[in-house]
Amino acid sequence: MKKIQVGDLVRTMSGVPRMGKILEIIFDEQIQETLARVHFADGTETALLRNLEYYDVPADPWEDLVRGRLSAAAPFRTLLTFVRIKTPPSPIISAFGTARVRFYPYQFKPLLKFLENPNQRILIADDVGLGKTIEAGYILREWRARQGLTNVLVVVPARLKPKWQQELKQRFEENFDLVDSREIKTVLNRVMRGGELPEFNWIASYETLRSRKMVSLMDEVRPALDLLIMDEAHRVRNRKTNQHRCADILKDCADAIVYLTATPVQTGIDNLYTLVRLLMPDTFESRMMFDEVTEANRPIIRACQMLSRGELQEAAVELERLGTQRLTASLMNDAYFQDVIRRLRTIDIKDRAALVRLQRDVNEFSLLGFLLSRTRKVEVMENWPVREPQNPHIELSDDERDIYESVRFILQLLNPEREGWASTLAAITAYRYTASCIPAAAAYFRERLELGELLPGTKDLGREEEREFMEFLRDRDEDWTGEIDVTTEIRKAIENILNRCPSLGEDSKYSAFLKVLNDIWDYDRQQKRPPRKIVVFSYFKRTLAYLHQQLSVRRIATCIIHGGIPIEERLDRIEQFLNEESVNVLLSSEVGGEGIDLQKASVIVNYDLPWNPMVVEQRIGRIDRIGQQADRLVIVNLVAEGTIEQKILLRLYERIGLFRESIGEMDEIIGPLDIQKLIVDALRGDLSDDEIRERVDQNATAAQQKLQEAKQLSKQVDGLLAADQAFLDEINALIRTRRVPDPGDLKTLLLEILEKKFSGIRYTQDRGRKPGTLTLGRDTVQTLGNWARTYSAEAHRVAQRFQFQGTVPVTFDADTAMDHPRTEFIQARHPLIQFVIGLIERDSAAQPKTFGLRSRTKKLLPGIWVLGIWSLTLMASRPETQLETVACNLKTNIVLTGYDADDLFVACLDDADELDMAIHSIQRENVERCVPLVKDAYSQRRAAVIQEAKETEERKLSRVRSTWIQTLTIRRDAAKKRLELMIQKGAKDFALRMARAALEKRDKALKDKEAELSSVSSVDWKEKEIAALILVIEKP
Amino acid sequence: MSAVRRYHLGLDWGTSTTKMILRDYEQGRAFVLMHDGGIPTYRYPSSIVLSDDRIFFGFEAEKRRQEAERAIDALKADIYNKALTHAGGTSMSELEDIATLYLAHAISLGRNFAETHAKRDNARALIGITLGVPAEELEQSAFRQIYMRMVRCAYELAMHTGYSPQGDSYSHAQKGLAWARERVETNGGYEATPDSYKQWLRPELAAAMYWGIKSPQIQKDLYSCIDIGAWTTNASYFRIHSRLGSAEKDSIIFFGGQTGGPGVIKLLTEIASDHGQHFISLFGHEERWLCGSGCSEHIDNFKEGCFKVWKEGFRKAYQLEPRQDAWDGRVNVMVVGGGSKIPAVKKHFIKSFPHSGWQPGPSVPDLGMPSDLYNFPDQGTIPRQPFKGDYTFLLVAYGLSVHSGDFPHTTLSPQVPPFDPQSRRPTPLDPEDLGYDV
Repeated sequence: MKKIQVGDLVRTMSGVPRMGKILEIIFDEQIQETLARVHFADGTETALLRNLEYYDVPADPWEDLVRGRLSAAAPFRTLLTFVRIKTPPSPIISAFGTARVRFYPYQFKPLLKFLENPNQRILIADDVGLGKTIEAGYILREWRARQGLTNVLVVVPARLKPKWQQELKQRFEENFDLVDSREIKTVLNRVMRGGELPEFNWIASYETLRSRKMVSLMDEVRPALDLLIMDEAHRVRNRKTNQHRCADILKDCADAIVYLTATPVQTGIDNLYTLVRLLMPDTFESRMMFDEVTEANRPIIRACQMLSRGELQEAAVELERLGTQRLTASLMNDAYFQDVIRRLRTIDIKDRAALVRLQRDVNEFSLLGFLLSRTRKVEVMENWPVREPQNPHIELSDDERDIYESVRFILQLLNPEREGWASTLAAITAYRYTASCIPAAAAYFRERLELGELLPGTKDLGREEEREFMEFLRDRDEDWTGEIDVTTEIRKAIENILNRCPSLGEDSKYSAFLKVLNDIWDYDRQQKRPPRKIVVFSYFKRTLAYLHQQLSVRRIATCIIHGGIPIEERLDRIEQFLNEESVNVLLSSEVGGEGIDLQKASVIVNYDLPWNPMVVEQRIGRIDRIGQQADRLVIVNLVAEGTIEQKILLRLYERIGLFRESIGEMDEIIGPLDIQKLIVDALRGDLSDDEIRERVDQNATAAQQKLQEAKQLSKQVDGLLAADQAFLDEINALIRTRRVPDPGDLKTLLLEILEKKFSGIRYTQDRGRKPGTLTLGRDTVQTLGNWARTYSAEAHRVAQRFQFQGTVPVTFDADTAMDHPRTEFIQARHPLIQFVIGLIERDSAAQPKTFGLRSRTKKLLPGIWVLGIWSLTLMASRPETQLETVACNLKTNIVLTGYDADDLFVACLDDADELDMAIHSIQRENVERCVPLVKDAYSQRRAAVIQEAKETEERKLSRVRSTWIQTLTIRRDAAKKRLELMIQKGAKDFALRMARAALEKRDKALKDKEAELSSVSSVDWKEKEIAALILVIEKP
Repeated sequence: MSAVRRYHLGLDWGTSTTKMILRDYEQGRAFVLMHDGGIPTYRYPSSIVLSDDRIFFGFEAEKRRQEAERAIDALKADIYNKALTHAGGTSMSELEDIATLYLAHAISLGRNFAETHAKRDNARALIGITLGVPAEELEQSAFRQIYMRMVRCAYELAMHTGYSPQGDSYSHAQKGLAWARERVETNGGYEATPDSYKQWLRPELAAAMYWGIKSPQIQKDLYSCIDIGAWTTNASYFRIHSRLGSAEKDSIIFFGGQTGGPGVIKLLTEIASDHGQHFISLFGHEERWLCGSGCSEHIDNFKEGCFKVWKEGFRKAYQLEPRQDAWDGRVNVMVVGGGSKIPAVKKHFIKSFPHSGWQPGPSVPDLGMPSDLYNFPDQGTIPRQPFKGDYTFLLVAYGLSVHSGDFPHTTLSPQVPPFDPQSRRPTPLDPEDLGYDV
């Protein structure tokens, strides 16, 4: 045996196995023994030299297990967290739990489908309020982690640009730029001149992309996109529009595409077809083909639904119906399909693992399954909150009515033909100020009069007003000056306003508002519950400032947010509103509230009504979404009696049910410009009250009819899509079997490694839903900084934050992160976690692999188990890693694998502590007997998993093969038929030549594809022994 | 039975009670030895009585105190005072004998615990020990020799003969002692190399800081610890650093400090006297009295008294530190001990600094209990729960429970060369020469 010397690598021979390097050898005169000072991975320590062995080959964990050299629960958890992050046994590790959102399993369904779809295309058609943006964000995050995306384009309606930017930033730490046509053109022109396409994360609007020039530039350049996300994608459904043309070009440029929409489901199969065709033009070349597919899909959907209800015989009958469809008739001769039907008829309903697999297998036959994802509200939340609109009666005083009429009079004095639309719009804004809040408007007019200008200029407008104005002007090709000549009449009208303005805090609307607040909180007091949180929306900053001031006089604490407040400050205020018991009112403009979920509030006050119903919908959408705890949401609309707002907006919005339910994309049903025109006509006195009522009713009736049709269609389409139970089961199984580390695992990993390697680490625990704090010592910050410089910009940001701030608020919990947007959210992809993963990797050779654990649980029967955990990676068309656990009972020698062994795996991670070694010493012989049984069972399990993967791979290829061959055969046959028809009709030579060329081309395409798909599928694999352990299950 | 299991006993011999922590090197755990004194406690009385020519220690001594012929209290203080003034070379006779027997008894308690623990794994216990010394004068040969003699003889008696003098006749115990001394002298005598004595003896001051150094919350830096205890206030200044410039904190330099001033008992006495009570009547309600508003004047005086000790300590320590400028705003402040629980006192130390015009440095939060501290398990089985109780009195024993090879390299204030203020500015020493990370 080699004599151990200074500098040698050694390993402890007794106790917990530890590896280290000898620094010094000393003789201890007290105990008369030779000691060695050894540098272990977790610090330097003396050890008895006789208990050290020379370490040159990796130890066999099974040998250590038999010898009882077991590590404890904490290093086991660290190892498993490391393994689950490094080689994730889940397809969604990068997205899972890494966003500042509440966790809902269904939101991962689109991601799983997207990953399953070989073309990486998906249409997400969830109901409103279920978080389509979040689902798209998950896809973005996972796909970026896998593919390293360099060019991502998000296309949204103009009004949603800031919302998308904010949501991606706050929830996913994704920095996207809002781009307009000038910026896009600059980049594309540079590419045209031979320049490289720069990296970008862009958010552009449909309005920007749809211009003719832009479309032709896009067509010419065809910029390569790694990922294209299109929100409200139904906007491109009309094939005659430039928007469609643009989408058609973009779909060819993008490697991966995500469409989001709630509306095509509401507006019919035709629209759905247009979108599906854009996503898979080759498969769904004709409407006929699409109809055929959707029809053939129905029995599969029904079979899936029956299977999830446990109606297995009925599901088998449904599947057999596929034999009657032209498209799927061939399945009846498919051995695998027959096998699935046989399993449906014979399976033991108690066999959970077999049922889940069967569910997935049946789902694989779904022809649209991977392309479409739809979740309905009823599926995810049994009792969606009810909206309860309230329109308190507000009677203007004589003075207030006079003011209101004076402003209306100014508007009537201006003639768009003479002064231009811009001036008229300025007057409209003045009017809207007044309709919003008379004292705020009066103060504003007073200020303007002192400046010698009467009506607002662009610099006075908030972002939202400016955005809408610009859109309006662009439509009329006008320039904005915002100046109006002050005529005597106008001056008189304004002076009248100023003279008759009510005292601050005494105007009718504010009084009504105050009564609303008091009524709500009085009721809460009676019900002995905390006061509800209320979000008050106004279009105007001045209105918000007025309310802030007046409420503070009454000692009602408020937080105010609008576009003029820097984003960081805004986040602080939102955090304050969400988390402080003393603040129950949030005063917000549209921009201020964009991208922020306020489910903690259950009351919305529309202090003024926007002229665009979608803005109202967006306001309500802040609180009416998944995660809302209240069973009813109060929507208060403050509109004065007899005003144009009441006559037009309130009436129209009420008629179309805007305050009662989410009605999807209203732009499709009633456009904001229609409403604007109606209001302006009314304000200008062009319409009598009866005429106004008539036009409102006409609009409302038309909209109601469309909404009714939409509901019918939606039901019809649901029958085609809703069969995703297998995906939800997969997500739930990942959570149940702990295939993804939870926040507690991450916290333990981070702190344990940092504390072991560095000094000056201080962490104060999260309390309730409040974040904790983390301080890193100087050495840590320095090492982190060095590492971050070469790792990523995000890592650099984190290192800088710790360097400059010292102590940083942190949380490991997504819910807390959501409520505290400025808190560092430490999730699996966070740079700090990646930093410690790197540190562990560096010392991986010294990591223990054998463990002794004890779990006191009611969930499992008492007993002693020997467990082996392996990581098995299958390199098929989609590489996949699985964590395989095999367990052998020490007494009975029963061996468990797969799902059954997973319960023991979960017990090890959930609540196990360390084992009393005495148990091991008694059972040593039994442990020795179990080890080969575990190893053999794993070998068999591995063989079965690989065999199953090969079969799945073969099926996948065969599915792709048959789909391609079928599609190309149909195309070739169509061309052939066309040629025959032309010959029959005696077509001209030129046309015949073209038809022959088309047939040749399609024939060649078919043959090429056949050759390409003829290669045989193969599944390579690799494995890694993760841990060997003894688990003792005891009664609690 | 060939397997061996290694332990190290930290022996914090106090004036009134002795605390012992036994470190199991196999599992990396420090076990607090609990004793049955009616209720389980880690405070083992340092009392010794002689009764009917028999010698008794600890709880047994307490039981016999009334009828004993002789009770020996505060032996530790007597030994310390005599050792400081003793010329060295020979035994201090009786005091030293009794102290050695007490230590032998304490070591035998630790040995019993270790052997019980090792037995469950069919292993033999190998036990090293370190005794805490209440001074920084270990470099003085004579001083060191007295302590070395006591601890080595005690170890020889307890470990190599398995003997405990508890209840034995005093004359028989003395014979045993003579035997042990002879054996030690035969094996090379009491004088030892610095490396060797560091294994037997460790200044309590350094030992008390071990958890501070080991705690992941503490980084390499300059610190001041103000320990406001029951009887006195102790202020020390030290630097924790790395000799190799690595992340591992492996060295501590003490710049000295000051002990004196008021302790919490004095404050309680004053408050109790205002209310016509004895301070003992306030025990159990200290927090109500000390944190209430009725005695702010006493607390202000107390605060100032403690602060004076800190200031005096600063004056001494500052003279030893060549990097004086670096102290401004950099001295991390730890306020510990019973007095630190008075908010006004703690706040005063955190907000002010003894050197006028200088910024106070950051305050060190409560480090919490050492993560490897456990109750000694019943029947030697694995403990399920970490130690529960007031660990603050155990930190010295905790710092003594590691082998010298595992203890940070310690430079005590007498070893730090005095610094000539005149030459400070013209010829500053290179910090690297002094072993600091820059």
